[in-house]
Amino acid sequence: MKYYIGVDIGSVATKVVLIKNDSDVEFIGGKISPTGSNGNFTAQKLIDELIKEKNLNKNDIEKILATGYGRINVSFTDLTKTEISCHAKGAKFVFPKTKTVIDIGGQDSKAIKLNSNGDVLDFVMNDKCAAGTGRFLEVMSHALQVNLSDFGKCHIESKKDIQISNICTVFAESEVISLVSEGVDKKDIIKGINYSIAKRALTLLKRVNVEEEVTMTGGVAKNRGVVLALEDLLKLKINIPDIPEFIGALGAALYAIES
Amino acid sequence: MKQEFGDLSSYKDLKEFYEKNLDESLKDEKSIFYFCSYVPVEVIYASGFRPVRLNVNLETFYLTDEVTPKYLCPYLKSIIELFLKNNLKRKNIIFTDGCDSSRRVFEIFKELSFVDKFYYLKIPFNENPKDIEFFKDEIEKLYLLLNGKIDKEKLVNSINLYNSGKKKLKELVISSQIDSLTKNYLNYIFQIVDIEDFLKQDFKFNNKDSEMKNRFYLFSTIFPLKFIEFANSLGISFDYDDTCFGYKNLSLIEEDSLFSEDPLFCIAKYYLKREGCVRKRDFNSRIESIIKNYKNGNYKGVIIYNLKYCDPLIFYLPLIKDRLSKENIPTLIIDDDYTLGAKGQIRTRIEAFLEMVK
Repeated sequence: MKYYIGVDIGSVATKVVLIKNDSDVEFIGGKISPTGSNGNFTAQKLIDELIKEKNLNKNDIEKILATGYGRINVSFTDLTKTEISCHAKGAKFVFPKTKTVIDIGGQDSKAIKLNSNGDVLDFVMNDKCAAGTGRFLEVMSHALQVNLSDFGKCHIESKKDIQISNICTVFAESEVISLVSEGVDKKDIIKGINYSIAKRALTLLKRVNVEEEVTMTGGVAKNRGVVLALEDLLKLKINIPDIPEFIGALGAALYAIES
Repeated sequence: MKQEFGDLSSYKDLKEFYEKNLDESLKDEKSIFYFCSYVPVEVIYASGFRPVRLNVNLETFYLTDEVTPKYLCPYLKSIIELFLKNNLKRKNIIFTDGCDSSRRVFEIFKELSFVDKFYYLKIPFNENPKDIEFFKDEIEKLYLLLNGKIDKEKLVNSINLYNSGKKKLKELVISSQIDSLTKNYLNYIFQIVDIEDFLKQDFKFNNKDSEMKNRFYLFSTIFPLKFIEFANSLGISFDYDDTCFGYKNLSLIEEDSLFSEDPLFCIAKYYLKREGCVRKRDFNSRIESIIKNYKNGNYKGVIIYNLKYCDPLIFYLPLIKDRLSKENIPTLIIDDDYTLGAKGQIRTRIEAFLEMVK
């Protein structure tokens, strides 16, 4: 039995995925934890816990490959790939007809264009600010005192369209606070926030000439509201993996097999 | 002022030499500073001055942000920061109307008493005969301001010196196998030292670039040298420098029938007919020249350094990207504000691009 581990050390969360490569690739398990100040330590801890949980030992692991912002300084492997390649690989594995990937993570978002073999043809990333990322949603969740997990439900229940016109996270936070004090329903504000994220994603997708099928990865894909807003703007259905936040780590594990 | 080159055998030696000489040039009364590649260095040298192109690596623009709009070209902001930081006043500077920011910076420099002798050079957008005549008149006014009279012999001598310098530099940066960082620093040294000293120097480099397999085509207007250093540390070699002060400037002023009779016309014609600037009206031919230059070399792709608020470049970026993609040329755009502040993201973009083209 050959086991492989993919590690995605992101700005907000670190994700670890264990796969088995026999005749077929099988997903064995995954673990996630806030990255904190030491990504290497967090990743190592998650790897150890995952191996233990699955009743394996370190010798069972053939290779480990790291991706994400924290990939540069890890002590447990020399194998690294960028998150662009890993998200493309993971998305193509889960949805083989994927031609475009939109990944919205904690710190950045990216649109990736693939050819039919799954090779990356083009990609674009957001600018260095937090606009259109998971961080933007976190700040808004705090400003509204509404859990992020409820953003999808609120979006569906909203009855009115509200525009959030500021792109900058800091300015948008002030705008949201003003709307709350004006007595605007929080559900409508949340829908406006979700559309704001979706519009940023749409800009990136258009820049790589979006083509079906589109797969969304990254933690923000768990917010049903953002997905609905993006589907509405794109006028097409988007593939959402069961575990969107693990797709980068899954891609890393798949690359570990190839390396 | 005579410059001692000493033993320069690696890019680190060149970097040190460049920084030291740029520092010294700020104290040299014979220095005439400029920021735009349309400034005719031959005319400055023929007037007994030393042309110095300003380019500094600065991390922040705290002092500049107090006196300029935020959206000013970061390259020009870095120059203002240099002046403010070192309390530099009353320098000899040639401005141009090359872009919106350079027009604004002219006003800012005057307001802050940074300038003593100055000239505001107007550059035509086209290269038709009447444009060349116009630019010749502009250069003539500049020459009269600096030299007091027209001295054809001195002008011809200066053109010949710069032509020889360019030939020498071209051999080093185009033909030889030295690494791209060394090539870049050589080009930058050429822009600040006395041309006669440059010609006397015997450059010998041991470092070969043969191991650097990832050869790329750099397209930009202005970029900080630390970007080249950073890209190099990630395994990128920029073998073609298609930027304001890049290899297009190594073409020579032709010795045609007018050469000794009307050297100012030859200079004007050269600067306008040189491979174009992004500000030119006929941008399609500019894109075609990128494709032609790219296809002539063995490059893995084009990397565009997009300087924030660089209005001439920003306008054409989507066109360039679209045209290059139609030619199946892999293209990466790096957005930066001259500080390389978002190094982590730039690293990811470059590494992902490398993975993509492999």
